Amino acid sequence: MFLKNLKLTNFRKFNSLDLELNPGLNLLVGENDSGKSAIVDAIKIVLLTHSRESIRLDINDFYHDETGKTKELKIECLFEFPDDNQAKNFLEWGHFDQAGNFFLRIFLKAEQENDHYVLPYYEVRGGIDDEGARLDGEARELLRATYLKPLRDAEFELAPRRGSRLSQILDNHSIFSNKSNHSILEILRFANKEVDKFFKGENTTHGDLKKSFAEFLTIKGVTGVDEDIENLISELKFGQGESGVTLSASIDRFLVSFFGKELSSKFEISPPSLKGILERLSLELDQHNSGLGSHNLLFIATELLLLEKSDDFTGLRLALIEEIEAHLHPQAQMRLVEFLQKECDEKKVQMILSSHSPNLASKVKLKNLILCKDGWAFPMGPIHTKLEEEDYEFLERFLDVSKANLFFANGLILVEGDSENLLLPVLAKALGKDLTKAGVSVINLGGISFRRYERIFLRNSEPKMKVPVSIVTDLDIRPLVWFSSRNEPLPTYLTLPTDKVALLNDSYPAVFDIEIKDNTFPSQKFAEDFFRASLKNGKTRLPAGFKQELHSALVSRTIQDHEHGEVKETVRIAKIKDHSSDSNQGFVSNNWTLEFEIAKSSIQHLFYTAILLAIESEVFDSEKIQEIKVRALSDIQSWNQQSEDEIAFKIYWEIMLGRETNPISKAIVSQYFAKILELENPDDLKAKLESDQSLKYLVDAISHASSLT
Amino acid sequence: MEIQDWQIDEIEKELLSEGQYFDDERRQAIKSLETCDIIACPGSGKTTVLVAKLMILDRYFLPLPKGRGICVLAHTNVAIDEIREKLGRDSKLSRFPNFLGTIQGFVDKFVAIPYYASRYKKRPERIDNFAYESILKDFLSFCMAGERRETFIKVLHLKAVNPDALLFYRLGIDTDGNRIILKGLNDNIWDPRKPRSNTDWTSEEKLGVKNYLLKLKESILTKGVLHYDDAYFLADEYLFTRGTSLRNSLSNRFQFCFVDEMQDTDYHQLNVLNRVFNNETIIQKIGDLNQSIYNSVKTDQYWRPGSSQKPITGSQRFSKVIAKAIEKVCLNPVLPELTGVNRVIQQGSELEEIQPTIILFDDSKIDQVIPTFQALIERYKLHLPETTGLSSSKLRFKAIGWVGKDEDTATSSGEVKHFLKHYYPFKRKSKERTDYEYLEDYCELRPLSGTSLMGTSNGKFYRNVLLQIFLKVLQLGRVFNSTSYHNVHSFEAAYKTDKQAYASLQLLLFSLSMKWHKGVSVKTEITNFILTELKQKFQFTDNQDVQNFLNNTGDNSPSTPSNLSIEQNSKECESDGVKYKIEIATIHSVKGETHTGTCYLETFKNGYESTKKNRGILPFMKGGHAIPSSGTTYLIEALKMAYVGFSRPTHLLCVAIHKQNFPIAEIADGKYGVWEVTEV
Repeated sequence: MFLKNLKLTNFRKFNSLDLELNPGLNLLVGENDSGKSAIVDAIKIVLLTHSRESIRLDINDFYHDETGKTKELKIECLFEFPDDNQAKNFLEWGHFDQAGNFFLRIFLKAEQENDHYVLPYYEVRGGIDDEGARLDGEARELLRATYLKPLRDAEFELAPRRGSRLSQILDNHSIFSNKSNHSILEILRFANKEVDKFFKGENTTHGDLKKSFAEFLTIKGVTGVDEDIENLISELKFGQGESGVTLSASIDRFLVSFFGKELSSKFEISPPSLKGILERLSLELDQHNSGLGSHNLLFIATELLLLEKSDDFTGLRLALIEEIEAHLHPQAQMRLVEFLQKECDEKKVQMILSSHSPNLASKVKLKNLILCKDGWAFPMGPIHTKLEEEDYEFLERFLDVSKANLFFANGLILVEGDSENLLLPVLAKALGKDLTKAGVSVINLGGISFRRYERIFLRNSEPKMKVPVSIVTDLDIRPLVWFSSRNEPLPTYLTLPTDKVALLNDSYPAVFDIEIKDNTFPSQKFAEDFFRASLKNGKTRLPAGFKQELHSALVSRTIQDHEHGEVKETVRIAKIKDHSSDSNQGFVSNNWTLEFEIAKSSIQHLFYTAILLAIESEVFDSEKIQEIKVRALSDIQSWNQQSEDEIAFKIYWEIMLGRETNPISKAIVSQYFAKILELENPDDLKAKLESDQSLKYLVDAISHASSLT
Repeated sequence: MEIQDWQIDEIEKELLSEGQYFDDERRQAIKSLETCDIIACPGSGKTTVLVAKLMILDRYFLPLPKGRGICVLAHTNVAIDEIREKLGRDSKLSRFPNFLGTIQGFVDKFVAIPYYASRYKKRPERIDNFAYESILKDFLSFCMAGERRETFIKVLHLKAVNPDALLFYRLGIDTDGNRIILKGLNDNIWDPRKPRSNTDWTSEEKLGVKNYLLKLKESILTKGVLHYDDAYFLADEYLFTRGTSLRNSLSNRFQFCFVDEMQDTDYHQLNVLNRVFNNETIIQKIGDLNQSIYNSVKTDQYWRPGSSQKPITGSQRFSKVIAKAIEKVCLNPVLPELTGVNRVIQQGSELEEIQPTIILFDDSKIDQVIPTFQALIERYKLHLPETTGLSSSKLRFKAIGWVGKDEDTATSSGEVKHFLKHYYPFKRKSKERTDYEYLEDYCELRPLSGTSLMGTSNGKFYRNVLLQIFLKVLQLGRVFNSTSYHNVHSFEAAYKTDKQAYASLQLLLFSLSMKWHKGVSVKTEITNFILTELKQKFQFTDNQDVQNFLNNTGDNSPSTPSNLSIEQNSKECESDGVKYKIEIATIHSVKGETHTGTCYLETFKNGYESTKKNRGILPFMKGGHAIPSSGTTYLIEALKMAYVGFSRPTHLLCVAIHKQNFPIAEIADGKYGVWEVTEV
């Protein structure tokens, strides 16, 4: 059986939550205060734990709405049963649906009034209606979860103590189900007999002890180990043959005088009960001086014993582990989570873990992740997201630790390369926005598999994710100067002739949300992308046969200068649309690449300065910068006969990339550029950036991504 | 404590549709918080008034000082469900320290069970008429220990001559508080005499029989199986022995007691209700004297409103022409007289109300009655929301009758007896029955929400039914759990001593439930289990009774599987592209309901509505007929039934009458009094 669904109403920060859980591993990730603990606690409150922590609702568990605390809270758990042997325990409260599947719904309700009075509705009830019937004690026992709290003090938990965690775990284990004459009790009873003899002055020599041990073994039916016993006993150092007889004699003498009659006392290792013995056990690593982390692993290992119940246990096997990464270094975290994932799959155990660790988030399969955000929890399984099957495979392979940061961010900027990765934080800072502080991550996808990453945030149903995601990408259409500077003819573009327009419109009615026109595209790929982005209802696949028809319909033609802008705009709008859905928003450069846009902008001289500095590999000093800045300005001044595109092309393509034969490191340029920007008057710079047309898409991307903060 | 107008305003907004208001009379009834009787007429919204009052109490006055509560009672579960529905599922009124339930439930919970528990040191196993009858039959199959065989034979003689006498006799107490036997509930002392003989038993023999019968009742009581009526006997005994302390404790617990549908309470219920509270509890009884159709002694109302009365007059429901038709069958004329409201619809070029209609039919065309009703609905286009201005969810059409399906369908005189099921396939919902005669009967049960077996999920239902089957077998196999029969608890306890055995029982229950739910027959598997494992576990012999239970199929259990859902008692219709349905129901089940169109179908119950005492209710329907004098119990009963049935619809009222019973000659201009007459 497993917990299939959790519904919360007015519990802590959840006004309402409807969460589907995986039968195996579930990793709750999210920033602090995103509701991970609330989810774990809610489950705990309904199911209770094997460790019998005292768990109670209190007044602070009620959700606050605008008018104050809500009156009633409710927690509902729904279980499914692949195994009839488990289902049979819950028949009275369970229900068969139309298809004949059996499920169990249990819930707990509580009410508060006047902010202090909680109606004591600690009763967990089961049934499909609102009233339900009380779950009886035996059924509740079968529903307990194993729970590991955050910030475990492993050493303390594993030390001998009355009611120690270790003793509880062992006591609950089937190995110790025989409470009255367990073997370990026999061992202690033997020891107690010897203790008794010691205080009576008997058995004070090796010979005596050996004799009684042999007797003990004979009673137990063990024979033929004489030699072993000899060895064992010879290792004991028997001191000077002390005896406790005088001690007990004195005590007995006192007793006679106190009570006025014969009374005798008895020394023993107490208590001779199984629980007492278990409470005296400790568990430690054999290596001494182990650290907190190792102890933690030992503790988790011990806790997992509880899930290893014997086969005749037909209850719930669910572990709740909070902050699983506590005290563990990244590699240990990874090994642990990998082990747990395997354990879940193989042993039909369900686990719900919570974590802040991008390490773990990147290691666990994406479908096992549950993202806690905005007062909701988003499971990342295939039925919930717009991700496709191959996206999962891809992401499981390529989602590394730095990319896994995306699960924890308040806003995201997905970029396609190093330049954006380096320059966007710099520009943001110049705009007066600290991305780190705002919790906005810039994620460098180092390629263009945007779509796979974008779909992580797209949901199949309400509620949608609110994390604003800016997808920054280049338009990637070369400026015409690229051709002229190389004395190449202007490129031939592709156009849909009017007769084909009509044909396509007729053949594919109600497929696109635009009317097909005689548009011009730089290439077949652009044309395909354009139509894909124009599909109705957010569809992502072109209808069968459309591609072929499109390809054969397109005819080449050479375009004129003045048409270029129009082509670019068509493509740009399609690209933006392609990347925009829910909270995802596409931001596309006007022309070509990011550096080209900067080189064309009102801060081109600063960028050019950075390039010149990089060329000269100058040590950074403000006088030098001033000097080079002057040079840069005069260079640009001297090019004033040329068009904007030509100047930008010169700075970016000819100088920075050295016509692609001798490029300067983008990273170094970015570094210089960042420092140069810092020296500018911040207000002037900000004003410049905000009004610049070339950089508008970047400014917009930054402000979209940080719109939540 | 005083209810304010603004509080009523608040509730009014939530409870009533837009444009409707509580008038002064209703406001006074809502505000009143002293002991009184509230007298209402059909369609006056008395339950709404009660609900409004309860909602105000819930919202502004609960919890009451000193931890006291409010007790809300009604005669039927249907009425309670309706109140609960309106109050909302989470109303504090259905929780401690308040009580919301039937009178029976109240008496069981607060009087009979606590008394039983204190006297017998255990709780009753079951309070269920079928279980009672089944165990009674058992007890009459042997002579009780310590009794003389001659006496037992005399009792059997009584039973042979008059089986009903043994079925209906009840326990009672005399003026000294001694237990005695009564002929029946609310009946006289039973003084049995030797049947079919001129010479009675000797007084000694008679005493022996009486003692035997008393001991028989007491033994069954001791076994823990109670008839519903026994609860009232126990209450009587409790009141006799410790009345003052019971009154004090119940009145301490409940500051208010509201009783809805008061006219339906029986003598014994009223008798207990009137005595379990002292004057520290404010009691308000709400009802309509003309609508009492539940009382077991049919014609006498036991509720006689006291000196403090508050009327709620004026119906918001039926049309003026229907008001006229209702008035004529009314036993206690309502003052001021029923006027009805304007319910005109477009008919041709005119705006008119629909005349009530009598549908005459030949026996052979009985199945055409409901289609005729349907044709009328469609002729007036009542199924279209625009005709009446009601939203489609509020449009409701029902064909109703007194008797759904009588157990005894055989006719001795050859007279045809028509019930609801002859008009349209009808299956009565059996709500509280938990005991059946044959395994086959159990196997035909299907989960139905709101039934006591159903509980809160169908898993519970299947498990309950399966356990009831096993318990029934143990009872038939004479397996005892010390002195009582086994109950669910003791049955499970017998298994729980062996962990493995209990686990396999649980698994069996689960897999049988799963199959049952999927429609796979489980009868053979159950039989096998009973004859092997159960038999071995409890060591019983499969005697004739067990064999009968397992193998027989009852004569009166229909061969068709009864996997009925509520929807099946309805006819799906479609016209003008609009779907709607005509529901088939008993008159008892539609009490308090408002329909758009109602078709009253006459059914046989000591004669038809049109044949009791000659022409039955027909002369009354025509008008001008005086209220009958005494000795016309059946007719008075029929008039009450007609009154309740006729007062359901807002627009269309039809009555279906057997043609051969109708005075065709009295039809003038196609009309019979205010009624139009049409023929199938």
